Order: sequence, then structure tokens, then C-alpha cells
Amino acid sequence: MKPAIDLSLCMRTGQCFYLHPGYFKEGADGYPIIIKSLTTESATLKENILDCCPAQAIVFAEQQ
Amino acid sequence: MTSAQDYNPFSKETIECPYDFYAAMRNESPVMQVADGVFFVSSYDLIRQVLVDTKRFSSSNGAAFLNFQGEQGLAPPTMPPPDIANILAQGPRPRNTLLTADPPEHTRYRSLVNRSLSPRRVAKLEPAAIRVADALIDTFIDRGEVDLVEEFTQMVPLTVVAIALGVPEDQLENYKRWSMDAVKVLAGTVSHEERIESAQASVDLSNFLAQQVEQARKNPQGGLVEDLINAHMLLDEDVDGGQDSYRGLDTDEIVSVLNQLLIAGQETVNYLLSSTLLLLLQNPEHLARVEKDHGLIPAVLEEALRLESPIQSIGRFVLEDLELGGIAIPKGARLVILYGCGNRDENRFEDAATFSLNRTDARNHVGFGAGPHYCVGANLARMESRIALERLFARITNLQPTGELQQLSHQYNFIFRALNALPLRFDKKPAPDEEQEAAL
Ligand code: HEM
Ligand code: SF4
Repeated sequence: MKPAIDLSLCMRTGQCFYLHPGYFKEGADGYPIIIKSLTTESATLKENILDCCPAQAIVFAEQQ
Repeated sequence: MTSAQDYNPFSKETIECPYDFYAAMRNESPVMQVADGVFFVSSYDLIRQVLVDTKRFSSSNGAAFLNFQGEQGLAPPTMPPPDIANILAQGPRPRNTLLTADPPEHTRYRSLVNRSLSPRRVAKLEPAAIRVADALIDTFIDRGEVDLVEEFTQMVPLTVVAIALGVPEDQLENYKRWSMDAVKVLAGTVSHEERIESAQASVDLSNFLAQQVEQARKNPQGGLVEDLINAHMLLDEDVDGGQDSYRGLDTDEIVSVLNQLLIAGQETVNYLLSSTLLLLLQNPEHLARVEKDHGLIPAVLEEALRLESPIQSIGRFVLEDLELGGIAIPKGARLVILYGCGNRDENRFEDAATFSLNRTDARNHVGFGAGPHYCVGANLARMESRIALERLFARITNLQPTGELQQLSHQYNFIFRALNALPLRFDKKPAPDEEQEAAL
């Protein structure tokens, strides 16, 4: 599963790349860049990633 | 324009309306030394740069709050004198969890609290917020006039945060008094007696919360208290398929988090709501639009967060010799991050001083901060403020200031942008069924 970010909602709070640096990094403009898919099926980790974003800009899509 | 150097940033006049001073400062010296080892940071870009860089700009070492000493300005925090240290020793051991922690410790606590205040969880509190707002409106609606600060904007967040935490609602007056007394020292110009009161209030609040946590360990009551008791702090995030390691939080840690939520969750929202209403009264055409279309309330709130940021400033501690905005800053210096000034930066927001409901980038303000410490209560603050205004505009109309708007004043406080009072006259709206009858 790979997280995706709706940049039209993102407020550049940085919560995703500070709390989950294994999955996101900061782009030059302050917007997040996704660097990795979830490899383990950890439901907690997935929820933590979803819940860290105050803009609800992060979504998970099933990977093809 | 008057030069930034001509203002006393700490005078009553400047604090009542800091915006000309802010504009001068942004233009002339976005990083400006204001005392020995104390610098203001005033442009939007530099503010963001500092807030996201926790490796060089720390929130520890009492960084967040400098002592505001009235006209004399700001001084670094000092060790409490022995009599106050003795009082503080009677409370739980202070722990650095959120506001006063740096990554990686900060990150561990922060991910736990984020979950409890996520948009999904906050949405579940909406019915409670509606109940609270309506019950408060009931108490004044037949009177036709009210001080909204005293009877509404202060009470909504106080009650809602107690519900969110899961602490008893019959202690609201105590939470208010303890919190106000505890933060009073930040406003400076307090006597030694007031410092003692303040220390006592911090201890009483912490001891009360510790008691709540111990009781809830045996008899859980829901809310954040229970979440934190059950929480497992991630010590080592597994990114590659091995084992994650976790541990639970001890009571001192939980109390530290609860303390911050309870204190930061009350007055800030009060200030946002009262400033929002004042902005609407100053812009009657917008008030009329919002009264007709409640869908505009979120945009109004973002614009109020931007223009009248409830928290105007916060501190950071400089960890190494560096240069910021072309100014050399020594290790050990303290920065004052002026959110309220960056939010009016013309280089970031078009017509920055204008109240507008048409901005597409309004939510990029730094009224909730930015980076690791971005307000953990932002979702709750947005929800409860929206509900408070929705209920108000659903039930009353023709809001008019009782006196002159220009007479309204703010607290003499360097950190908070806080209206002292907002006395209004209004008309009660007919209840929806009466309205229908009237239309027949
Ligand atoms: C309109 C209302 C509010 C405003 C303007 C506001 C503003 C802020 C700002 C600017 C920060 C960042 C501080 C920093 O950079 O060091 C912050 C952090 C914080 N806020 Fe809020 N806040 C509001 C409401 C709330 C509410 C309702 C709660 C609790 C339920 C809350 C709890 C906190 C806490 C615990 C932190 C520290 C977070 C951390 O360091 O990770 N705030 N707030
Ligand atoms: S947490 Fe959400 S709002 Fe913040 S930077 Fe990441 S995607 Fe954007």
C-alpha cells in the first residue's frame, strides 16, 4: 500500500515527514514527497500515518 | 513610514495594535535584535525556516516562553527562587513531552497525541460541542445582550476540552482558575505574591490531573486520559519489516501532556472566537454574508487566525552560531517567532492586511505554527470554533456592539492576542417552526 497526498489540501505542517521520515521527506517547497510504500501490514502504523495529518491530505490506495 | 526602531515593541500602545510596527520591521529588519541575546523573527519565510529546523532551533531550555516584563521587554527564563522551587517540588516531576521537547523525544509523544486529536476523532466530539454551545446560548438568549467573552467564547472551549480529555465537568471553574493563574507569569509584570500563586496553581492542577490518571487506571472514563493510559509509545519505528518496540507512559508523562492540552486548549480558542466576531463586526458586509451562508465560517476562522493570531509569538533557543536573514546570531541566543507578523507578510499573502473570504491559500498561515510543533489541537480548535459560530448565527441575529468598537481593548500581553470583553446587543431568531408559521 502506498500513501498518496492531495497537495491541494496539504497545509505544509510537516507532520508527515517529521513523524514518519521512513515514508515521507520534505521537498524544496516545504510540501511532502512520498519515498516508500508500507511493506509490513501494520494497521497501527497505517492509522498513525493517516491520523498525523491535520488536513486529511494523506490517503492510502491499494497498490497495483 | 515610521521606522521599526521608533517603536517600543513592548509598550501598551504597540501591543494594543502591533501591526504598523510589524510592517516596519518586516520591511527594514526581518531579524531584529531587541535585547541582549534576544532577536525577533518577523517575515513569513524566515519564521517557517526556523520552525521546521529543530536541529538548530530548540524548544527546550524554557525556549517557548520568555519572561515578558512589561515596558522593560523580554528576559530569558530564570531559575525559580527557593520559596517557589519548594512549592513546585510538591507537584509531579516535570517532564518534557510536547511544547518543551525536541525530536526525537518530541516525535514519540506527539504521534500518540495526534491519534487522539485526529480529524476522525475530533468529528466524534461534534455533537458534544453542539450541546455545549446551545446550552450556553440558552443562558443569555432571552436577555438581548451579552458579554460574549465572559459568557460564551471563554466557556465553549473550556467545556469542550474537558470533555475531550475526559476529566470531570463539575470542575470547570477550577480548570479555568488554575490555568489562568499558571500562565499569568508569562504576562510578566507580576508581583512575587502572584508568582507564588501561579506556582501553587500549576502544582494543584498537576496533582489533580495525576489523581485523575490514577483513578482512570482503575476505572476508565474515556477521552484522552484513557487513550494515554492505554497508549504504547513507539521507541523504534520499524520501516523495514522487523519488530517495533513500544512502552506505556508513566503518570508524570501523562500529566505533562494533559496539562498542556488543558491549558493550551482553553484560552486560545476563546481569543480566536472573540477576534473573529470582532472582525465580522468591523466588516458588516462579511457578517451579512456569513449569517446567510454558514459554509463560509471555516474561511472566516482561517482569516481570523491569520489576521489576529491568538498566539502572537513563541520562543526558540539557538543551538549553534549561525546566520539568519543576514544577521549573525550566537549560540545560546533566543528567538521570538512572531506568527502574527509573518501572517501579514505581503510577500506571502496578497493584500495581507485585508480581511478576505476569497483566499485560496489562507490555510497556509502560521497561526497554528508549522513543522514538528504544529498545533496538536488544531483539528479540535477548528471544529469547536466552527460549531460555536454556527450555533450562534443559527439562533441570534442583528449583532451590534453595545458601545463603540474602538473602545474595545486587548490584554497587555506579549504572547496572546486577547480581547478583554465583547459586549453585544442582538435579536433572538424565531425558532425554525415559528419561522415557518410566520412565513405562512
Ligand atoms: C485557535 C486556537 C489555537 C491556536 C491559535 C493555537 C496555536 C498553537 C501554536 C502556534 C502552536 C505551536 C507552538 C510552537 O511552535 O512551539 C501550538 C502548539 C500546541 N497546541 Fe495549540 N493552538 C490552539 C488551540 C489548541 C487546542 C484546542 C489545544 C488542545 C486541545 C492545543 C494544544 C496545543 C499543544 C499541546 C501544543 C504543543 C504541540 C507540540 O509542541 O507538539 N492548542 N498551538
Ligand atoms: S501532514 Fe498533511 S498537511 Fe502536513 S505536510 Fe503532511 S500532508 Fe501536508
